[in-house]
Amino acid sequence: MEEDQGLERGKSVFFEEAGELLAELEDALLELEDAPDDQELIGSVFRAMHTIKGSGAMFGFDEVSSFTHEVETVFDLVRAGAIPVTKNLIDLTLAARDQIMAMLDASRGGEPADDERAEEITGALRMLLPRGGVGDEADTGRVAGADKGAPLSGAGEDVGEESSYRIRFRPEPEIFSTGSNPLHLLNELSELGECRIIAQTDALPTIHEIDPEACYIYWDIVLTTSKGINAIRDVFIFVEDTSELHIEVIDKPDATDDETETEYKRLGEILVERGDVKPKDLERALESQKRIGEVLVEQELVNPAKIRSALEEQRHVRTVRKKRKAKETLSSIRVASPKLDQLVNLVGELVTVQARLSQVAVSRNDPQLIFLDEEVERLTSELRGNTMSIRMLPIGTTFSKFRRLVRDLARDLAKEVTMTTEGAETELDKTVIEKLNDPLVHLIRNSIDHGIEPPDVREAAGKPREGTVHLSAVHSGAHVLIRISDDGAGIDPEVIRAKAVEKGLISPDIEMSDKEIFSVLFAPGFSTARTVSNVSGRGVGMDVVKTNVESLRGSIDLTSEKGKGTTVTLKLPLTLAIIEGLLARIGDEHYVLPLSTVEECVELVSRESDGSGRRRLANIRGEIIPYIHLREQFHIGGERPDIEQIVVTRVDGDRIGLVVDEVIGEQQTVIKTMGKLCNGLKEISGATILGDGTVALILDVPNMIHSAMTG
Amino acid sequence: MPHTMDLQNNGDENTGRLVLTGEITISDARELKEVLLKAIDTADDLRVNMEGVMETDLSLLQLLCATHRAALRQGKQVKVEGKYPAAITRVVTDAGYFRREGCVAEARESCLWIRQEEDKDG
Repeated sequence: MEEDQGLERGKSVFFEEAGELLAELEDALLELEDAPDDQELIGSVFRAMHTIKGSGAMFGFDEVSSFTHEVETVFDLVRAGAIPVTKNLIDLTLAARDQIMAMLDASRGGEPADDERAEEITGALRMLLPRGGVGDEADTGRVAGADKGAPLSGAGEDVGEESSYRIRFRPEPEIFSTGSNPLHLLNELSELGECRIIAQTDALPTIHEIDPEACYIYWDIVLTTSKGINAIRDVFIFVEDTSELHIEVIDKPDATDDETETEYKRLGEILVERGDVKPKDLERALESQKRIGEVLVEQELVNPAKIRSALEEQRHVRTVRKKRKAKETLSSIRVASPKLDQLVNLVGELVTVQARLSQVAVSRNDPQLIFLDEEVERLTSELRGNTMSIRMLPIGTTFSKFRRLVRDLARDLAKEVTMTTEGAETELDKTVIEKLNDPLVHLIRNSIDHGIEPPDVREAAGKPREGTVHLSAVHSGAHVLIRISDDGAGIDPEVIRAKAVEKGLISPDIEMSDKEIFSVLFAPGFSTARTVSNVSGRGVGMDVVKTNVESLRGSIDLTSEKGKGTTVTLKLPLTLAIIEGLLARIGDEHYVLPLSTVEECVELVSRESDGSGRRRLANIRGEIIPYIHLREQFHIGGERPDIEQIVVTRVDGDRIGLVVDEVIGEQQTVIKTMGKLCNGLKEISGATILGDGTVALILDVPNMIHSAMTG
Repeated sequence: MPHTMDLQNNGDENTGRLVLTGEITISDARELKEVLLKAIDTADDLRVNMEGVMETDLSLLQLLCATHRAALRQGKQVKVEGKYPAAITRVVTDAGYFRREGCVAEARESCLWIRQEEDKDG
């Protein structure tokens, strides 16, 4: 029973990891398309395939494993330089990636994967294999590979942790005539791990004295490998008797536990250890205050190549240690997101309780209690920040998903499009990122379908054939701005206007600015696509994008210049769960205004005319600011106090005041969504529980002002 | 695979140009040594062009280094002309032969194998 559970858990980890690997694979493939010679990328494609194959077989997904094997075989040959990276290869591998995804979905109870498609892909992949039976071998090799489960390349088994070795290899002078090529030995060695090879040529005579068929060179090698010292010895097994070979361990994983950290031995130490410099000479050289390497060379105690070799060793071990350290510190654990959501809820409640505690402490005026409360407040605030940061993810993960979308769309529409991104490291709340996916897909589709012109048209217009879609993310206060811009045809306001009139969305004789006309694009049921393509214009219009963004408490803005391109800007809050708010009171009711929209608070002493109309004007330091009386807006009864307060907010660049009875102060506000009954209330974005247990409504300031102005 | 070792001398200026092409490996080492000896003995300024080398091994590197060494002693110059072909860079990389400065003090800057850029994967 327990084993079964273990297997199940293993499987779910496999699904998760495979998902990540496939995402990485996709990224690597798309990058590879731009840089077909990048060995590192080829390597990472190969490794991803290899891992999926291996762990797939381990958890009994034989189909996945054998299919992946085919792709892996091809990439093994790509890695060896036998097959070039072509667009066809990338297309096929991307298709294979999708197929693996489909297979995984199928085994999780999704729709069954298309077997014929798998056959097609493997068939096409085999066509790429060089002639000479490799393709046949792949079939038989599959069985053998699955049985052994051993990595295809690299000799020897892992013996656990990585160690670094210092190797000096001096072959006998006659090594060339024995038929051994020292280069092959060195190559084998570098396959064991990260390897620095330095040829030492000090024994080399001049051309007059040289025996052209003898080997004068010897090597200093620093190797970091997990294969163990025997694997190194195995490399030299045929020349060991006739060559000089020293292998020393210079670094082990546990060597960095103490205070040595990432530092490594000093240059002099290494040289003495290697026997290149005598300790006595070193001591003498150390007495002068210059750089030790320079002194030793000056005094001809050692040649520069030896110093360089020792420096290489130093550098190598330092990087290895740094990497190891980075790996240790970056180790992470997987947490199911419901657990995280629960944590956020708990922190939310804690924030609320802390607010109550503060109130009690202040009202009792007990110094001890106040002291305790301050401590709790500090901790709560830190805990809140930490918890929120756990939920933050860089938006880059979403961006990279779109590269595939752009590529496939461009191909389907016969357009040439590249996607550039900026600010991929910008962090946003996980929930926001998830909900952002659909709107972004829609906007990118729009850009490519309606924005970017076909290559010939672009060329005729004096633009580069290839269009660009640029995605950027940038922090702006408590918001993140996400821009999707293209250098396509732009939007003609007249066309939009005509269409809007035709659809009866606006009346024909009304004067409108371009900005106002563009806002019509977001009206429900507006779509300008002349033909309904399978990309966009399926009736799901920009209005859906707008609703989605607004449900995230964000806003959307569009600018466009005919012939130059279009930019859509999404403004989104950093987080959905807790905001900094300003607590205000009107009569017995409490309201929270998001602090990010508040600019200042001013007293409103002299009552202006009490006449009709909700819009009034206040004179604040010479500036005329319209204000809205919230008491009237919300129909709250009771007497208005003599001195009221105006909370000045900034919305879309305009300063507008909101009048309340009293401003209580700043408040960390845990946002609770309200029930379905309140869905129609645009002015309220949620509610929160105050310290004394009462409920305060959170104002959606932009919407409120909008409805006050129009209502 | 055939090879050529074409040595041209310009007697007036004491310059020499050696063009190597094709496959030059250990079995051609004796021949190459003779050509290099002649080249360095007859010219003060020797340019070696290896752009046409298709296949090679360590012996070529050793011989060129030895030539360079002899030249340094006699106050002469040896330089590589043109690009390093793939065959050469492969051997030079595999053998850990590329360097940032020369192996002996005198050859600090004139070393034939000083690479222009940092290796990417190293």
